[in-house]
Amino acid sequence: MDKSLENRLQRLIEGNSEANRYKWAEEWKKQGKKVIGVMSSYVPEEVIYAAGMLPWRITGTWKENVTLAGAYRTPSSTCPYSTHVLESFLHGELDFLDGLVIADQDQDVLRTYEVLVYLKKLPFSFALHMPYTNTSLSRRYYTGEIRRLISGFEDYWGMKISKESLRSSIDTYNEMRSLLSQLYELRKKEIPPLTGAEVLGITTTAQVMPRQEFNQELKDLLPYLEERKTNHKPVHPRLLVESEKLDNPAYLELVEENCLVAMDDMDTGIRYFIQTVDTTVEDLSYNLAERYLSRHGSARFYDWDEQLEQIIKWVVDFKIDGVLSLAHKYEVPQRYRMPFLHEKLEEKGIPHIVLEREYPLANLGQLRTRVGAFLEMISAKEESRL
Amino acid sequence: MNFYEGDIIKLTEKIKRFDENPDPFKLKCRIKFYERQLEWRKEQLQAWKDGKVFADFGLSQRRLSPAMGMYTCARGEIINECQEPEKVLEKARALGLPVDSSCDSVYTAAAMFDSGDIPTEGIVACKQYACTPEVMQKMFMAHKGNLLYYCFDSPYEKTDANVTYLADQFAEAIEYAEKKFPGVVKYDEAKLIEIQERDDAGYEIRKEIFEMLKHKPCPINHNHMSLGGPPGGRDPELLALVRDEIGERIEKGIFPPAGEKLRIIWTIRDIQYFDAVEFLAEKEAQVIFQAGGGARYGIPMPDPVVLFGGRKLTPLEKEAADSMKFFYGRDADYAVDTIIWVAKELQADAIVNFLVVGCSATVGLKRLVEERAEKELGIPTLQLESKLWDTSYTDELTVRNQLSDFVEMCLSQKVPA
Repeated sequence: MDKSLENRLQRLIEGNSEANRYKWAEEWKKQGKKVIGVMSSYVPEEVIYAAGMLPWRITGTWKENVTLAGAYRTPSSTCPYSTHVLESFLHGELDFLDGLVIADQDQDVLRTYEVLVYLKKLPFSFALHMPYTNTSLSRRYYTGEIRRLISGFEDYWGMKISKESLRSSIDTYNEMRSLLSQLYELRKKEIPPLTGAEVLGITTTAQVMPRQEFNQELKDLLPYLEERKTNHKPVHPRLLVESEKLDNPAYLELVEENCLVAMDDMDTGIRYFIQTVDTTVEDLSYNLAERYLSRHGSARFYDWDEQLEQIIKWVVDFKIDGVLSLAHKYEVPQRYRMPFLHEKLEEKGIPHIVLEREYPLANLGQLRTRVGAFLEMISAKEESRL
Repeated sequence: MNFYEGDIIKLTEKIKRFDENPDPFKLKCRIKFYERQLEWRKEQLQAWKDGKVFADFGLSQRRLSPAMGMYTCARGEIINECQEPEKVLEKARALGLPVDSSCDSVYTAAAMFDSGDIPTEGIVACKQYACTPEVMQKMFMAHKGNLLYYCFDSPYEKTDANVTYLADQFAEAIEYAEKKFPGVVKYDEAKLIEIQERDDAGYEIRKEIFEMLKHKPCPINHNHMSLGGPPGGRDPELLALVRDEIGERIEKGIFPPAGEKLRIIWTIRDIQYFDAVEFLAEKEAQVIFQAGGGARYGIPMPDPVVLFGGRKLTPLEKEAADSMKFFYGRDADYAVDTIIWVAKELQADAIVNFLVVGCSATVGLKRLVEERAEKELGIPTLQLESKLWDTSYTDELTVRNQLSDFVEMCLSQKVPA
């Protein structure tokens, strides 16, 4: 094992941990540059990066207690991610941010943003309105939203986001997408180089680290990863984990106590980087809109049949034995799609289970027991097949 | 027995009771609304039996749908009249819907459809506002029932471009529907104009009624006024009867017998398992207005936006622009501004901010309503969180206690006039 490369790999895996995630922003700011918080994977980060700023995905506090945010939201009946992000803001943990950009992918995110604007917690704030479908009308509309975002940056910061800088930013992001796709290809191996928790560590690091630096690191590490074999035992059964706003790898570590998470369908995982932006056509704003609306989407998009098709394709390609939905509490779109997803996966003979989770690590005993029962069910199914 | 058959029996009995024992403190003309409602229910039932096309066109369901020759189930009001909530709740649970974490207003409709309690719609379209559970429920139903689906996406800001975007979606949805039901669904622009004009006439009368509610004491409380439901709530002839009767009450000095120590604005929806308005009235705390729904339906908040340089809007543009007045589920500024404006105009002493558990549109705004009411109007707000039907989250006793404590607190703080 090459220790130096292994250390660099660990740095990427740990890049979004509680101890490390702020340092990327601090280092960036030391260079006199701005850091912009992002609260949705539908925000076209390329625009922020083209403005010379660091798009930094906000991870909410992983502490259970949300006493300050509770005054603005009802923790027991609203999206926990949004509540925990608000808690972090109200504690001053995110005061270093120079701005916040969201896409209103669900109302919880929007309402959190609006509370922050009301409290004047942000020097710069911008909300993109997201369509629910991918049609020619909605693509045209979202193109307008992206142009509005560009103007918003230019007007507020007194700068110009040139076509060249936007194209260069898109190239950087496309490179990141391509590198992460190569990393995911390695997950198809019988013994992959990384666990699911480690991969989640890397994909969440990609969302807070300066992107060029991240690209360079991953590019250097890919040959090493080609050879690396995870020490994790067991590597079977292989699960695909479906979730939203899951940014704490400890959840996947718990799942992986007796199996391997070989693939995901998460906004913090594959959905962050799947599908590149076309730069061959001149209208870059339109191309960005096209990518964000047509990429494999979350449940809030109507194309559930296509989403299902993609999940089934991954099940085949990654030799998945079962799909685990770690349903984020009060994640409305995911919860409404769940009966559809469950019915269709069962029809295809793909074992599926829905386990509810909090945002911070909680109810672990129950979760462990239920994952165990699911794995037993998969094993029994395998045995009966043999 | 399906929902319509049950409601026809219920309305018939209500009309009979009204004739036998008229309550002098309720509006006499309410009988006309009941009769109109009964007539409409019979029309819906017949249309269902005849295999007509039902559609939900969101906020335009009572304008665009009939203009296209379609019928509407009017889910919002069906949920208020749900006859077997426990059964529906169980059905929703069996369907795998998130009943514990979602607004019961939303999953009720899905469960009733699946039970055959109300007709299956040929087309479902999401409402023109961003209520995430509502949008998702429609997607769920469209997938489950293999229905034609169209999502009306309405941006928050009322601008020429955004109105055009929404109007273009209406045009596209019409095209889809005409293709799906050739010869049955046919958009009739003249019909839409006629409906819009009648709505506008009704709205003008609602503005007059709103003005009358400023009278102290208020001539009528929300329960006795409650006329918002279809189809009477927009009918100019029926609304004129309401206006005239309220005017007569003011002139003759006929006011609710319980007195008016507090004037309360109630937000968004009514609790269905308990008559909170009547409970408050017994404590001389009158709910004088329910700030739910939108400007088009009776909140005459001034709208300074001039679209397209002031030119006359096309019917579809008008449909788009009107739906953008609906404050529920829109951006925080517009939603909270509307509640504060109503409270100010009607000189309310307090706000009961009713938050349906799982309502992502309102729960996240609770502190904003409270702080702005305190800062701008100097009035207190009760944050009342409950489900509409389901008492597993908050029960009647808890709600009664919360309301009682709130009234007591308001009265103790109220400076004598």
